[in-house]
Amino acid sequence: MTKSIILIVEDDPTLRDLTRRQVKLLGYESVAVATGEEAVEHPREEVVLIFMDIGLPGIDGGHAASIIRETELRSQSKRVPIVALTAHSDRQRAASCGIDDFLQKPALINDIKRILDKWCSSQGG
Amino acid sequence: MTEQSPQTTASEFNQNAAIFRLLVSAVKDYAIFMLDPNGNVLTWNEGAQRAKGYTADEIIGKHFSTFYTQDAKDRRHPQHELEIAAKQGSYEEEGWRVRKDGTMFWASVVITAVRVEGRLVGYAKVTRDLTERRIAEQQKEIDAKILAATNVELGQALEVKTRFLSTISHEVRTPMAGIIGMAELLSVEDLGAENNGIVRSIFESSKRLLQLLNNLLDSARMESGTVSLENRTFPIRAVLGEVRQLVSPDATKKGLNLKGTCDLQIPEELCGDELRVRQVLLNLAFNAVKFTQSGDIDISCVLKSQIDDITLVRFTVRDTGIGIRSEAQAKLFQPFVQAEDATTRLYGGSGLGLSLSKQLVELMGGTIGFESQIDKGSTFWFEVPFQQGKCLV
Repeated sequence: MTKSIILIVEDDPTLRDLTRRQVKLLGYESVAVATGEEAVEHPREEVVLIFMDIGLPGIDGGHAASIIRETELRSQSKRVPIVALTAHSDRQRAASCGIDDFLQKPALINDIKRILDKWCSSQGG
Repeated sequence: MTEQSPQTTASEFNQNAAIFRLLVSAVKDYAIFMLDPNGNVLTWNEGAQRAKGYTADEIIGKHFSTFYTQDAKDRRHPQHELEIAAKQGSYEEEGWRVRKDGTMFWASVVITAVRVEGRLVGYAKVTRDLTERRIAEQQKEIDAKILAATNVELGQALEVKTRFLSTISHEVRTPMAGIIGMAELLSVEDLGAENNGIVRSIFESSKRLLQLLNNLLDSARMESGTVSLENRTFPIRAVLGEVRQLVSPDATKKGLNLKGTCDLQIPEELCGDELRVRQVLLNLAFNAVKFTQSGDIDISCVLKSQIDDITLVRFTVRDTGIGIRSEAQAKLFQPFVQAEDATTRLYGGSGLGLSLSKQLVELMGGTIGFESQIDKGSTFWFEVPFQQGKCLV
């Protein structure tokens, strides 16, 4: 059986740790990376959802999301839900980058749960 | 046609000239006078005396450059005017002239060369004092310049403020997210009653700090006019459900029953600002939970009217809480006001939530209000017009 992994893209170490713990508490495994470049490179076969910070060093979360959408199209692979988890509030731009949902920091366990229930209830642990 | 004798013509001419001189001499608003071919004053009228301050005795025989500034005289400007008038028939201009007392006035001048049988016999000069108009024009120009400069400055100040707010909002949110999130994680661990109590206090305090920060930032943005609405298609029932879900932990802790319905006549999808609707509903719902000790909280919506494709929805949040005294009701939507000063000490809060809610609802083109009875409870409502169905992009 394939694993269900949440990919967390977050440059702040505390928040990276926090989201991993929140996701774990809700029964999901996770992998965390600190940059948009790493997010784009990360294999996505087992990834069921991506929490994407927007303000990142190097390419930002919006840009990373667009690249992921392009490669999905080129390789005809499944479309992974991408949820912005950010202190910014520019939803319109997020939507235009192929981001599916939007969560404003700080996100509490219930916020994370709502998103996971909505986007990966069938795969969840 | 009868042939006229030269004598009759001359006498008629003299008679006409006398009438004409009489008319001219009585004109008060225009200085009308004659110059000889060299530019010396030949005649003077009432208007000329008023405009320039000289009596006829004082000025007749003097050169008309007397009325010009030293600078104009140095440039031989009066002579140039006469030369142009002689050459082209007339000369017109507006410019500063000097009165007898040395004061200046803005003159509109017309100089016409007078010729008899082709020979230049002098100049007719008509001058009008337009100082008031000129000063008004200059004041208008100055006002316009000041206004333009002020607008630029205001725009810059506003931009700085907006940038400051957005930066602070972003910078503060990141550490706040760490504190709140970690405190919450600890609060679900079993740390022993005392430690769990401490962690819960950290968690609740940081949540309150965040809410205060959010409301402050929104109020400031509202003030600077940088809050914009986002129109998106959204499922209204899901929003109500989420709001109930979000207040449910606090309500459950107090043993309050959460309920509510959404009018079946309201379409599944509406076009509007989901985030702002949720924000106002949450503000009202959290208030309801905060001020209610027992009973239930009802979060509902009904269809108020449907005209063309505009759906007017009324959202209500009804509680069975402490209610609001009628004396305090009038100022409830003012910023930093709570019903009672003691309320703040007992229940906390900045009093920004309702004033912000009002501003947001009004920004969406809606209205907000409430009914309340002491010890029975309060019903807060707001109505917002939405475009029915999917947003037209």
